[in-house]
Amino acid sequence: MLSRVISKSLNSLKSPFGGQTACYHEKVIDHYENPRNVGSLDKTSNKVGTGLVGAPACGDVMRLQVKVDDQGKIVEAKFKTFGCASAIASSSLATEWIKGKTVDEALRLKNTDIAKELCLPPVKLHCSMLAEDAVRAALADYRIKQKPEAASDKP
Amino acid sequence: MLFVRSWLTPRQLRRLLSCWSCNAASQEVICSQCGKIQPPQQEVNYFKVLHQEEKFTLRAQDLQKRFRDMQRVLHPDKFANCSEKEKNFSADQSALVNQAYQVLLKPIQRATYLLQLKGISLAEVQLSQEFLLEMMEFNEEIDRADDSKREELLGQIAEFEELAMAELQEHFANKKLSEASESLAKLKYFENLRNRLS
Repeated sequence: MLSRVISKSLNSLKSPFGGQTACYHEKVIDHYENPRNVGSLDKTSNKVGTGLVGAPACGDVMRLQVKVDDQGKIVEAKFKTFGCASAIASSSLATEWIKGKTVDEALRLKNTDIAKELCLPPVKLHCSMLAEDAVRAALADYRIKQKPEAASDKP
Repeated sequence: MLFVRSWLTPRQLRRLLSCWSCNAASQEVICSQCGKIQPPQQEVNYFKVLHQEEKFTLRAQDLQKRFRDMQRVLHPDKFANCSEKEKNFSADQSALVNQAYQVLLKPIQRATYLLQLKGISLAEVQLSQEFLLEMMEFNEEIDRADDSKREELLGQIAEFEELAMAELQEHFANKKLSEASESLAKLKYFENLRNRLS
């Protein structure tokens, strides 16, 4: 089943022009075939922030979650992305990078860093932006939960 | 006109405005004076290429007939005995007609193109968290589904698509373009779901 999905998606990587394969960097293929930190965290927990974002032009949807300890350090990061290889690779890389960082450090993550690391072509830059948006949304959700009124609702 | 186009060389200007062969003023695919095939124009509009009104609702039969009529005239096979120049123009024109037809034929592509002509990009559509959550959950359901469940999910998607397509049509008819782009974005999601199941 998984291999079917992958082979199907790899076919779709082929460019419609002349049947040449799109120049996906091997780093994208690596994250795509062995995505890091796929999964979910308990979104009702006060220590978990969830970001859910979409790319309407492609029909992609991305969920990224962080678990933050009492020292404000991100101890776990999970993602689930339904979209193209670049979107999957971008979110996979983002979770790798923010793990072990503080919330403030993680907020400094830039889509351009992701795009550079994965050598994304210009038409795929929006995938790295989506990953940045997802990180920011997850951290914002976590911070809202940390506000006193929210905390008193759910200890 | 000459003033406005003054940055063009006289040769480029002539090419833009007149037939390369007989110099008659011609904006047609086939020159009305000498009957020679012309190169495609620099800025093309797929609706104009296929002589369609620039709107979402098209008659598939009309479109298909126009496409076939044009290819009958423009196809490179018809230019086998002509000069290299004409052969090249025919290949370009024929490819353009093909491209225009492929885009206008499929409703999602046609809608995307139409919005693009109006300067609206789907990337700017703001979808609700509810919708994104629904799409995330639907995708996860597909991951877990066995064959019979997959059939059931395909049926659900067909219903979603039908509804969103009706919405899209209505929004275009009422010239509500931002609503149309939202319906179109939803159709993209449904299409992706369907592709995962079929």
